[in-house]
Amino acid sequence: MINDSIKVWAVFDSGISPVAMNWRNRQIKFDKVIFKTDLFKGKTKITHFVCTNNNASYELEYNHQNYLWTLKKIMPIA
Amino acid sequence: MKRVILHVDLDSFFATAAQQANPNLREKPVGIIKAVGRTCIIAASKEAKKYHVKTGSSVFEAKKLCPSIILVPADFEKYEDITYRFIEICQRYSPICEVFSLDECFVDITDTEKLWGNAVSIALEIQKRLALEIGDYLTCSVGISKNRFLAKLASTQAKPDGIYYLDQKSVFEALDKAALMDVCGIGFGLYRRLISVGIVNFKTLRVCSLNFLYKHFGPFWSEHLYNLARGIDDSPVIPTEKIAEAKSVSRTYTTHRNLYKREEIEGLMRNLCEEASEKARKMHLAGRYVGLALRGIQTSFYGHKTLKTYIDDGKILFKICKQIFANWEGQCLRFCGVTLSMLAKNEYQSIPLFPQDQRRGSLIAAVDSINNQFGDYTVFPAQLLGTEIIRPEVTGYFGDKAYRLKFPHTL
Repeated sequence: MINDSIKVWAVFDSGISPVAMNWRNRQIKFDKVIFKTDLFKGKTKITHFVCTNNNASYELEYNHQNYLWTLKKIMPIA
Repeated sequence: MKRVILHVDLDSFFATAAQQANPNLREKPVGIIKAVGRTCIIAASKEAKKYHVKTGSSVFEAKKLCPSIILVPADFEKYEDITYRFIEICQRYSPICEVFSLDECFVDITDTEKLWGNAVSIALEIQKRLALEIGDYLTCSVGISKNRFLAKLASTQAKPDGIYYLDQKSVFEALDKAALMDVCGIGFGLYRRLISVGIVNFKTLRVCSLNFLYKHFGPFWSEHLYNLARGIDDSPVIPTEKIAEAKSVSRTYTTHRNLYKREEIEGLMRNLCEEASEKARKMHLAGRYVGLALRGIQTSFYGHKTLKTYIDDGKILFKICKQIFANWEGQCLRFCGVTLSMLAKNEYQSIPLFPQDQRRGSLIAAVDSINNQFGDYTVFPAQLLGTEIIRPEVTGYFGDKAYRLKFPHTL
C-alpha cells in the first residue's frame, strides 16, 4: 500500500473519471478506468478506481467527504 | 399464462472481480482465500477450474493440482458493491427480480418480455450492460426457462458467458444430463437418502411413484422430488420488497487457528454478540431466544436459552452466551456462532424502570449513532481492546439479504 496523497485531474460528469494524476512530481496520464467500486465508511462514501495506461494499473481512492485523492497501489503491467 | 424466468449468474464471481480490478491476474489461475494465511479456497477463477481447483479445495490441494495458482485474499466490500450494481442492472428489465445469492438473480420477465423484444434479447442486454457498467472482464451466464428451477438448471448449461434457453421439449434431456446434487434443492443429506433407496439420477427418480417417495421421504419431500424429476416448480420469484421480515439474526465465524484461552473465546463471542445485536437494532427488532453454536476439534456444541423479555443489547446477549458457554466442555475452539431469534419489533420491549437501565439505552443509542456516522466499531466495548476486531461482511450465499438489501451499504 502506497497511501500517498495525490492531485488528480478528473471529469465529473454523471460519475467521476480520473484522467491523470500528479504523484511525487510526476504526471501520469491514464488511458482507461477499468474498475470502479463504492465503499462506505460510516456515512462517508469512498470510491476506488483502477486506472491503466501502457505501463501500469493504478488504484486510486476518492473520499467524497473531504474531496481528497489517495494513491493506494501501483500494479506494473507484467 | 406461461411464465418466463431468467436466472442470471456471474461467472466465477469473486475470482473474476479480482481479475477485473487487477489486470495482472487476468488469464491466470486465481484462488480466492478469505484472508492471508487461510487454508480454504472460497472461489476459483475459470483458469484454475481447468486444473480441477474448486470452491472448498484446500490451499494444499489447490497447489498440488495447480502449482502456479495465485492466492488472493477476498475483498467482500468490493463484492458487495458489485452485487448491488448487478442487481440494479437486472431490475431494469423487470421489477420482479429476486436476489438469490451474492452473484445470482432470478428475473421474472413474463410481463415485461415484449417491451424488450424477447427473453434472449434481454439476456444479451444484461450481459452487455454488465460489461459496460461494471467491468469488461466480468461475465454472466443466463438461463431462460418457464420456472425458477429450470432457469437455474439452464444457466449451468450456459457457463461461462453464455445464454441457454431450456424449452419444454428439452427438460428431461437436461435433467438426465445433470447429477442429482447439481440442482438446487438437493443437498448432501437428501442425496444420501436418495442413494440409499436406489435413486442415483433423475431418470431413476422419475420412474418412482409418488407413493414410493411418500413412504421414504414423507409428505413434503416426496412431492418436491416428484416435481423436480419432471421440471415442475411453481415457486414465485420474490422481489426485495416482498422478502419476509427476518426471523433471526446471527453471526458466525470460523477462526484460522485453534483458540484455547477462555479470554480469547469470550472476546470472539463478545464481538459476534455486538454485531448480531447491532443488526437487530438496525432492523428495529429485539429477540428473546439466544443460541450459541461452538465447534472445536471433533467436538460440537449447541446451547440455547429462551428469555422472558426481549433484548437487543450486545452486552446482555453476551452475558447469556457466557452462561450457555459454561456448559461447553471442548478443549479448543474453531467455530463460533451467535443467534438472536424469536424476534419482535423492539417497540414491544418493556420500558426500563430504573435510571441506570434508561442510561444504558441512551448509551447504546449514542454508540450506534457514532458508529453509523463514522463506521462500524469506531466505538466498541473495552473487552475487544487489543483483539483483532471481526467486522461485518457479506457471505457468498447472501444469507442476510433481508437485512442487507433493506439497509444497503451497511459495511
